[in-house]
Amino acid sequence: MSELLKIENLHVSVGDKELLHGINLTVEKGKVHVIMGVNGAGKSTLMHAIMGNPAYKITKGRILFEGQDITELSVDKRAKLGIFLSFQSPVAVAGITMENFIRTTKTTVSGQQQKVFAFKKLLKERMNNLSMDASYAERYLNDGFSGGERKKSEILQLRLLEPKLALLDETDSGLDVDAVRIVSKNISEYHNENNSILLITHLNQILQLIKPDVVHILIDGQIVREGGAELADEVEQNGFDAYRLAVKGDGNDEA
Amino acid sequence: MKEIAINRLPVLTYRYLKTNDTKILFSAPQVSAAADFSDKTYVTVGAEFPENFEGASSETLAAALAGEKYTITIPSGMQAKLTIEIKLENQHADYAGAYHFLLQKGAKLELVWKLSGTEAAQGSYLASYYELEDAAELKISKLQADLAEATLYDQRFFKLGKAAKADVASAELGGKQVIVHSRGALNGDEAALTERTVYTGTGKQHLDLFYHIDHWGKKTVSLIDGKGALAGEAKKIFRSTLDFHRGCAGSEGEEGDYAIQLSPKAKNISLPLLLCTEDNVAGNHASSAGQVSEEDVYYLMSRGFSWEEARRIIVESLMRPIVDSLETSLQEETLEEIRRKLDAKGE
Ligand SMILES: Nc1ncnc2c1ncn2[C@@H]1O[C@H](COP(=O)(O)OP(=O)(O)O)[C@@H](O)[C@H]1O
Ligand SMILES: [Mg+2]
Repeated sequence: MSELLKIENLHVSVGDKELLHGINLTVEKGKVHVIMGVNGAGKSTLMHAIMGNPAYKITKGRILFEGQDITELSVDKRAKLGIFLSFQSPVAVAGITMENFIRTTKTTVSGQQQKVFAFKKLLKERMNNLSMDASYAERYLNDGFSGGERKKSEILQLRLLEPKLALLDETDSGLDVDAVRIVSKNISEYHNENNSILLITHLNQILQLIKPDVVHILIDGQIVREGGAELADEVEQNGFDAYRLAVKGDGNDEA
Repeated sequence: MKEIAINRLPVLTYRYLKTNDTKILFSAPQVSAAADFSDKTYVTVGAEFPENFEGASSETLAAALAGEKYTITIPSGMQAKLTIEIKLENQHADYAGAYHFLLQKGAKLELVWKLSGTEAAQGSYLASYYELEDAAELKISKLQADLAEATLYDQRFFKLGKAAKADVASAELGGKQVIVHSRGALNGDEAALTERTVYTGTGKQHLDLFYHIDHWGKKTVSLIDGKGALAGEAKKIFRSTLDFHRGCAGSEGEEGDYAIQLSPKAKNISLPLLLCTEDNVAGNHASSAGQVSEEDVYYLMSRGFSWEEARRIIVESLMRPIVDSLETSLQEETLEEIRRKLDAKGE
C-alpha cells in the first residue's frame, strides 16, 4: 500500500461556480509531483480541497489518504493525519511568537509534548538552515514579515512538523534567486522515501534540486497532460498554449 | 435610583439618535471600601478639580467627589511608581474616590490601577484628574476584573502641558456595567496622549466607553485604540472623538475600535467622530467590527488547531499588543482572565 494520496473524479465548487471538473491524481509514498498551469487554472483550489478548506465544496468524487476516505474530514484532523499546506499567502498572527506557535503546533499535530530546550535548539538550527535571523523566533508569527520571509516561515514549519504529505503552493514565488535556492535546499532535505510532495511552481529553478517524478498540467480545472520531468522543460520552452487548445478542443480564440 | 444620561457625544447626531448618550439607572454610593496605596510618599489628603472636568455626567462626578479625596504630587524631575488597589467585598460593596495627580515639570509616574472584587460588590465611582506640566510623563496601566454585579464608573481628565506625554492602557474585563469617560486636553505644543483599551464583554455585560481628546497645542499627537471581543448578549458602545481646534497645526490623531463578535446576540456600536477647525492636521479613524476571519481560522486549523482553539488564538492576537503594553506585573493575569472569560463562551 504505497498510495499516500488518491484523488478520484474530484469536482470542486465555490458558490455555484465549478472550479475543478473531475480531477484524478495518485501520489505514491516517496514521490514528488509537480502541478503546472496558468494563473486561475485551479491549482490552489486543488490544494485547498486536499487540505479541506470549507470554502471549497466538493460536489463529486473523493479524496483518500493512506486508504482512508478523508473527503468529509475537518482541516485540523487532516493536519493531524500528516497533511501540510504551505500557503501561497500565509496569514499573520500577532500575539503569538513564531517559536511558541510552532512548538504548540508540533505538540498538537504530533500529540507529543515538546521539550522546551530541545525544541529551541532544533528551531535555531532549522532557522539557520533557512538563513533566518534567530531574532525572528521571538517575533509574532509572520507579523510584519515580507512575502519572502513568510514563505520561509512556512518551510520552517514544514521542516519541524515533518508531515507525510507536503502541499507546496508557489513556495518559490516572490523570492529572490538566493532565497529560492535556500528554500529548495530545505525542501529537498525534508524529502525522503517516507513522505511525498505535491508542488505548484512556475519556475524551473526549484526543480533542479527537487526532481519531479510526475508532472501534471492543469488547465481550466482539468488535468490535460501528465508526464515525467521532461514535461516541465517542455512547458518552460513552449508555454501552455498547446495545452490550452487541447482543453478548448474547438480551435482558438486568439485575437 | 434615578435615570440619568451619561457619556453624551459632543456633537449630537440625528442618524444615531439613540446613541447620543446612554440612559442608565443611577444610585449614589455608600462609601465604604478604602483604596490601598503601594507607597504614600507623594500622597496627601484632599483634591481640587478644575471646572471643565465634566465626567460621565454631573451626578456620577459628584458621587466620586463625595468619596475619598487624594492629591498625588510628583515633584519636578522626580520619578515614581505607584499602585492603587481597590477591593470591593461584602462589607465594602462600594467605592468612591476623587484623585488629583499633579506631575510637575519633567516628573515621571508609572501608575497602576487594580480594581477587583466579588459578586457582592455594588459600584465603584472614580474620578481622576491628571495634570501634567511641561515634559512630564505618565504611564497608566489599569486592570479591572470580576465584580460580576457591579457598576463601575471611571472618569478621567487629562491636562497636558508642553511636550507632556500620557499613555493609558486599560483592561476592562469585569463589572456588569462599565462606564469609562476619558477626556484629554492637549494644551501644550507637542503634547501626546494615548488611550488604549482591551475589553471582553460576556453574558449580559454592558460597556459604555467614551474617549474625547482635544488638540489645542501645535504638533500634538493622540491615539484612541479599542480592541475587544463580545460574546453572549454583551453590549458595547464606543464613543471616540478627536477634536482638532484652530491653531493646533501639525497635529496628528488616530482613533479606532475593533471588536470581534463571537455571538450573534452581542451588540456592538462604535461611533468615531472627527472634528476639525484647523487645516494642517492628520486625523484618521478606522472602526470596524467583524466576525473572526475564516481565512485566518483555516490557516490555524491547517496547523492542527481545532476550530475553537483557532478562534481563541485570533481573538487573543487582536488584543495582545494592548495587553503587552500593560505594566509587566498585570500582563499574565490579564491574559488568563481574558482566556477564562472567553473559554466560558460568555453564556
Ligand atoms: N474563494 C474563491 N471564490 C471565488 N472564486 C475563486 C475562489 N478561489 C478561487 N477562485 C477562482 O477559481 C479559479 C481558480 O483559482 P486558483 O485555484 O486560485 O488558481 P491558480 O492557483 O491556478 O492560479 C480562478 O478563476 C479564481 O478566481
Ligand atoms: Mg494559486
